[in-house]
Amino acid sequence: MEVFAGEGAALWYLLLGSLVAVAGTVRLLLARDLLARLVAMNVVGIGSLLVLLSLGARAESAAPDPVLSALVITGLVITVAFTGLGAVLIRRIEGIHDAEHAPDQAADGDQISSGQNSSEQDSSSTEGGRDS
Amino acid sequence: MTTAEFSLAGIVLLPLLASAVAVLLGSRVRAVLGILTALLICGLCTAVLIQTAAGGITELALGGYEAPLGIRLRADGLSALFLCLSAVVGTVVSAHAAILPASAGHPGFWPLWLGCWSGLNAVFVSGDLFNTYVGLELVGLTAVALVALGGRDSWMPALRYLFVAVLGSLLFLVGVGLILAAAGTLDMEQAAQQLAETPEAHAAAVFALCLMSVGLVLKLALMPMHRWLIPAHAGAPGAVSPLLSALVIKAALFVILRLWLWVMPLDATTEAETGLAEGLSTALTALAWTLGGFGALAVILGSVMALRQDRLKPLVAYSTVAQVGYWFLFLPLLLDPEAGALEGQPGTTLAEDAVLSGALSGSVALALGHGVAKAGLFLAAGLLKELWGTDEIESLRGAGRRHPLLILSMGLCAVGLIGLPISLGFTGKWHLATSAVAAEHWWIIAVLVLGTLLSAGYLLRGIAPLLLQDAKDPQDQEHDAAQDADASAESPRRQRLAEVPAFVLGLLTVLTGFLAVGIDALMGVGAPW
Amino acid sequence: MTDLIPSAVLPWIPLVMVVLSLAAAVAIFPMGERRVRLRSWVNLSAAVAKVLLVVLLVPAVVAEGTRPEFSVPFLPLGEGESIDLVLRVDPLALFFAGLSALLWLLTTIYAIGYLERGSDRSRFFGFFSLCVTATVGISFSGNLITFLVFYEILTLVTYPLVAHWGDEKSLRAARMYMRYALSGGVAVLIGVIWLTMYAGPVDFAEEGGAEGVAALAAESPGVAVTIFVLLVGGMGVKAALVPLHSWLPSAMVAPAPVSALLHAVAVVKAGVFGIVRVIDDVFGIEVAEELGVLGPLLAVACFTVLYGSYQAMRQTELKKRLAFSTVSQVSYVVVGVSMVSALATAGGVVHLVHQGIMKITLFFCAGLFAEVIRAHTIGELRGAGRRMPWTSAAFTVGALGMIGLPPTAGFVTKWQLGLGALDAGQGWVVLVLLGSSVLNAAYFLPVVWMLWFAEPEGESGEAPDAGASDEAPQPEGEPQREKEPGALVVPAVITAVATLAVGLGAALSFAPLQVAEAIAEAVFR
Repeated sequence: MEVFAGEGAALWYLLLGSLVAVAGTVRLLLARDLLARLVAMNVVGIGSLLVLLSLGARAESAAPDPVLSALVITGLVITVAFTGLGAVLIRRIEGIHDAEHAPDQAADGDQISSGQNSSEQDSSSTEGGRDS
Repeated sequence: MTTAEFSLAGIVLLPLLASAVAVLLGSRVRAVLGILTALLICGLCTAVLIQTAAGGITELALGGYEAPLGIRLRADGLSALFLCLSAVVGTVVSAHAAILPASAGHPGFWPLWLGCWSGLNAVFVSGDLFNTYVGLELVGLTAVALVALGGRDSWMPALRYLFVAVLGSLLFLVGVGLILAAAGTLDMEQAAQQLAETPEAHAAAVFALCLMSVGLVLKLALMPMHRWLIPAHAGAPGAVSPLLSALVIKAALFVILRLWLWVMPLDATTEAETGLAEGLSTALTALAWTLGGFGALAVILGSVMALRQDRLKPLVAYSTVAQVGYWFLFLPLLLDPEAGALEGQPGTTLAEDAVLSGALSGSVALALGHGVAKAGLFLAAGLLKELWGTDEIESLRGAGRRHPLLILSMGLCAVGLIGLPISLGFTGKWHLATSAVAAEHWWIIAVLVLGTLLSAGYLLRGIAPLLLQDAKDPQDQEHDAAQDADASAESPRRQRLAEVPAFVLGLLTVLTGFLAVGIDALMGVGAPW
Repeated sequence: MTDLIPSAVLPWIPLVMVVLSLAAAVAIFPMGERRVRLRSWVNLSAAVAKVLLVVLLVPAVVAEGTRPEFSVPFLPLGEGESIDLVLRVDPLALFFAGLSALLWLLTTIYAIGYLERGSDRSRFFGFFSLCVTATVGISFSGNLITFLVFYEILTLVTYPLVAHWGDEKSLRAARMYMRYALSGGVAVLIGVIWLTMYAGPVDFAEEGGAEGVAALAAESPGVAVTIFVLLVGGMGVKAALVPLHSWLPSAMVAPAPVSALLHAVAVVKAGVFGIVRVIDDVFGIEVAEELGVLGPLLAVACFTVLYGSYQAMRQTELKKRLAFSTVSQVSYVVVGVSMVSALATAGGVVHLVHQGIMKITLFFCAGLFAEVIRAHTIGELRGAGRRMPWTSAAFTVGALGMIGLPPTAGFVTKWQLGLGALDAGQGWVVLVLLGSSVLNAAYFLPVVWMLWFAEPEGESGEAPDAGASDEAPQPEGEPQREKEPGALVVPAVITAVATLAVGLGAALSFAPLQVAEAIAEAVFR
């Protein structure tokens, strides 16, 4: 299976990554359910990172480009951070829905909000590590 | 390490550090820390500005590693200008948030905003695309969280913003990867050199530019992709909206400028004569015209939409959508080989390269002027909403009687946004228009004229009713009294004081109008031609 | 004479004059509503200081020919060059500045009296001072950019003045004003941009226009004509040339002192002043003549003169009638400067001042009638002459001046313009002047007749209970003499006297006519 090794493999991964990314984008734009959109967003992320990796493999040198790997890893971390923030937001928004049915739970809001902030801070300092 | 080099690192790391420390502090101390950091940033910015104004580009390789592996910080004229914008607007808005904690929405404002500030500065001084990407992400992530501080009505807009921001980032990231594959480096200067020398890499570079432009334009809310901006900017807390409109979207703009003018070897791609190069050049031209066309669309349709708003903050948000359009109008000029045809010809007063550099300085001046003026306008609108409990223009009738200073500030900011003299808005339009006339791109003139008149229309529509005096209508007076009772949470003295930051921005809108010559000179430091 | 002002100080004076009213505005804005005395004091001392400065400048500029100049870089032009904001005092600038300084002083006195019980006075006087700042800036502008900057500032700061009462009607009028003025401003801006592209930054040249423009006109007359149309068309909005005039009558809702200032010296005058600058100092009258743009402009101006008068005749409201009269009268200036003759140019330029003095008198009086006896329409003025003799006398002088009867200022203008028309070989303009005078008489004389000779309708009619008479009980049937507030009537009487004085003393040195003739001679040198 010559095609699945070396240059050829990279090309396949490139195509696969693009397909995944496009599919995810379509779903992200069309889905109504918030959670589905969040998942679709992650799918786009994985597709794009796949494209990046295949680009690295296409490079002529034997070893994959370290800078590209770093790029992919950073991209992963950031996508995770965004996913976390998105999940918190979705939980809150769904919380309003629930609260409309059971008004007593409305008081939860503040508690969640402080939790959200500390997790938020964690993620930003993770990126900061790359900066310094 | 010279002072300027030290400042360059400090400008990025200091707010990041402050952000981390702020999480550990109580909410009152956070404000103090925020103000202190803001003042320090101003000081550091001044150091960088002085160095740049003297004609030097400040560079710093963090940790001593050189490119391509290390992280290189680099400040030229463009960086210095945007750094100053973020320092000035950031400081004034921070002061506002410190005076009126309610306008920040939540104590979480401080760590988030300081983190965002660090990201902004990182984008502005970044010398390589990796760093730019990380900075952009830091800005995006904190901006989404800042929007969410606006309470339950802003959670949904924040989520929408998040999806858009991530989609934009991923497109940008793939573009960065492509550039890396094509040029073998992420350092902007080296990449530009590599690309200029290797014609076979041009296809990848042009494709990367397309992807990155689309991604950034999503974050910048250019017209057909603008829908997310309105609820996000209008729903954010009073002190957050100005930051979003004035600074956050500027980060994406800054990167677009860097890519188009500094990284892309536009001359090399458009001047080669092989068949492939011709195709590429067509593609590039098409991209430039598409973005320019979207810009024109944004200026006109955005203004028309703003005209139709009944609430103040959405009106101001739509005005942002309209103003974003102005910054893209110059792109088609970049790729028009005829653009500089009149330069140096007898019968004109154009110097060499005057057309493109004029168009670029004009667009930058418009962006900077927008930053100051829009921050002021959003601050004022947010404060009115805070004090009156609503931002419906109809219910704010006659607010001017009680807040004359606020209305005056809004008027001054409106001068800048409409583009009347004396303001950077005027300077920018002047530059852009002179370049357009010289390049005989008359459509730009038409867009500028329409945009100016429409913006005067919607700003008047928003501000004039505040001057109405229905004192004779007793019902309204009762209404006023009710509003007063609502707003009594903060002491009246604090409320008065809270009007000052908006006024400062209003004054700056006009005073910066005198800085045009200086800005032009700064733009010449490290200019791409 | 040089000893009057040391030459080192001279360049700073134009700046000082601009900053003076700006400083007054900045000082007034934060003042509390009730600090009437302090506010009046600031206002009046700034106004007096400005008049004094103008007086000091006259001998140096007019007699000795010095040109005090102050400039600061404003817009970059590439290669380290820049377009500057230039304030320069030449005779025409001083002429206009003198008018604005004098009328500012009088209008301030009038406004202090007029708004005695009004609200938002700090705002009013603040913007009032800003308005004067812009006017002085316009008069001292040394190039088109500077002119444009102050021109737009003027648009902006007049908006709150027109909208001062804050009711729907005022706001609508103010919005209309803004729409017109901004559109005009944009046209001027495009014209200036275009001109700068081809001819570089254009300084106002006293003698025969700028060189670059002459070169442009020779090379591509089409472009030059388009630029001329853009500039003059844009300024024509403020100058209320028909068909760009409709904002002016509706802006009449503004408080009386604002209308007075708007019509006599600020907005409308800024427009015509700009047209004079463009024709005489940018293009130069010979170049403009060669381009063939003066003929059409003259026709538009003549049409405006007649149409304005015709519309004025149809108005029954006094202020509306005065507004249309302004449309007509201001165009005399354009008529004068668009004829190729030093006599005509002098007639046009001198009318800048003459019309200002006469029209402000009329507006002062209209405000007085409205305040004291609540008379807004012409019918309500029946017999006002005996109730308000001073006001009515001043109004009569102003009206006779407008008609152009000797020995008023209006006569001097029309005489000069008539001579100029013959000199320029445009005899038909004399007919327009005569026709306009007849129309002027037709709409002003009935008002004058109403004041003095019409019997008051009914005994008390519309007379308010305020302003009780302090004289002995009047004979039956005689209307009561009303108290005319001093702060309002004195400025009106002063301008009325001035209307006569500039007419009678037209031959004296430093009289407006003499200065105008000197300016016109420079144009044709």
